[in-house]
Formats: sequence, structure tokens, C-alpha cells
Amino acid sequence: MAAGKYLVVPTGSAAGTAGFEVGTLLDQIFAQDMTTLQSLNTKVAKTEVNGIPAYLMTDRIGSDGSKIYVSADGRAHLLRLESPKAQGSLDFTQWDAVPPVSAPPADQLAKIPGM
Amino acid sequence: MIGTLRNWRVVMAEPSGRFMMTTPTMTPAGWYPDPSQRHDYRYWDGTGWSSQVSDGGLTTADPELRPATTPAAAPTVGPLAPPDPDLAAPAEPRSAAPAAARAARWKWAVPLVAIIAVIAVIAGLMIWSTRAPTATTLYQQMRKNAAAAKSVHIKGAFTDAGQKLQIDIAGDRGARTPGGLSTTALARSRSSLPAARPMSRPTRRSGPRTPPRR
Repeated sequence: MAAGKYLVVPTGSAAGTAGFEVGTLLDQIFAQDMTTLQSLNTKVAKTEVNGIPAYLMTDRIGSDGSKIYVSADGRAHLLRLESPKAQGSLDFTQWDAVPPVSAPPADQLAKIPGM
Repeated sequence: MIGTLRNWRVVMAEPSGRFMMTTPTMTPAGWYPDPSQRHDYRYWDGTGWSSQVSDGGLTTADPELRPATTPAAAPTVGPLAPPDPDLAAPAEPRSAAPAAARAARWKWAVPLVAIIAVIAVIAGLMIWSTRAPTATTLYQQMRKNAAAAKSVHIKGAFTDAGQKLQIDIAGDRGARTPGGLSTTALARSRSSLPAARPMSRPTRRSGPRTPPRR
């Protein structure tokens, strides 16, 4: 199937591109999915995420137990979101450092049926 | 009676048994009220008045104004009780010298206290600066950074509506390739799920599931 390959999505295909856009995804995570500041414990814990020094912010007792890891380098970049409720986690890396994406070779493209 | 006469020597006793007092013994060296009354005390060296005088606990020399009284005269006034030990003491070992030593110690103490205070302030500032920030600060900074970020790599897995989904997406927010394809549309799917899952729901506008949704 298309696993490991790039999906070609026509520009303006709202159904397909909206969710794949990094910006949209980020906005959605922050606007809807992330635990709010009001439900966080004030104190943070020092820890690591993949070897990177980090601060861990946790939900207050009674919340859903989400955890937010941010970098401890003074910039507080989001490193990881953990959610017991959603049984998963997301790692965030390469903030402002993702190499430019260029069009992949043809053999790396997978077509979406019907598009 | 005998007790009050301890400084007087009994030299002979009359046959009747009466004690007869004669010359006083040598008054022991020490500080006594200054016979000239110019100073609080004057030092009696055992044989004569010295030039050492004491005023308010400080000893000084007063050779020019030595009392005219003879050495023997003073004691005849009566064996003077030694001055208060605390005042007599300053005579030699603990006089102005110890006071000067105490003053010298205090001269050390002032800068020492100042140095300790400065060190304490610096240590306090260091501890304060290295303490963990609050969640409020971190959270607000995180949101601000994320909103301003031009690119990021998001990878992970989660369950939404009973379905396990995986995300592995990296790229700029809105840069577009020359070919007209949005770079953000070049999302690489390494999912074990059918790659086209997000596409298989054309009616879903929010695209792939995202983590915890409240």
C-alpha cells in the first residue's frame, strides 16, 4: 500500500490537506486537545525526553492525567504530549528546524484512488 | 576584729594579753583611689605610688602629677580596700590593651559580616535563578513558541474513537513548493494503518485524529 511513501494531495483539497498541514494540526492540538493551563499543577518536575532536559507539567488530581513536556533550555518548546485518555503520546521535534521538503521521486509517490 | 586588721602586723603582745598594733605591713601592690584625687585610681607598686593612673577603666601615665604623699602615708589612711576587681583588673594584663584588642576584633567583624551578607545574597540569587519555573510561565511560553514556529516534526500514536492512529508529519506551516503542492501536504505516512485513512473520509474536515480531545 502507501505505507512509507508520500501521498500526493492536490492543493486545495480541503478534505485531505487540512489535517496534514502541520500548522492546522498544531493549531488544533493547542486549541482543542491540549489540557488547559487552569487544570495544570503549578509546580513542574525536571525530567528528560529522549535525552533532552525537560520540564514536566501534569494535570491536577481529578483531571484526565495528561502530561506536557517542554524543553528546559529556556525556550519551553513542546516536546511531548501524553494522554492516558487517548492511550497515546505525540513527540514534537525539530522546532523551526525541519529540513525543506522537496517533491519526492516518482517511485516514492502513491496515488490515492479517486484523485 | 582580727579580720579587719589583716593588713596590720601584730608585732608584740603585752603581758596583759592586749594586742598592740604598730606599723602597717607593706600594702600589697594594686590599684587604690588616687590620693591626689586627680584620677580614679593610682597604682601602688608595693613600695610607692607609681605614675600609672586609671580613669574610667583606662590606664594612663601621670608622672608629673604624682601625689605628694609619701608611700607610707597612703596606707596610713587605712588599708584601703582594693578597688573593684573589674576596675582594678585593667591595671596591667587587662587594661587598655585588651580593649584595643576588642576594638581590633570588631574592625574585622564589620567587613566580615558585610562579606557574608554579600555571599548570602549572591547564593540566594543563584538558587532563585536556577529554580524550576512555574507551569504558568512554561505553558504560556510554549504556546507562544508553537504559534510562532515555522516548522515542526510531530510523531506519535494515539487512540481516537476506538481506532489506533499514528502520526508522523514534518514540515513548514504554509510554505508551498514551486510545483504548487503545499509542502505540508507532503505528509509522509509511516502508519501501519491504511495509508489513505485520512483520505478515506472526505467528509471529515479535521483530518487525522489528534491526541486527547476534551
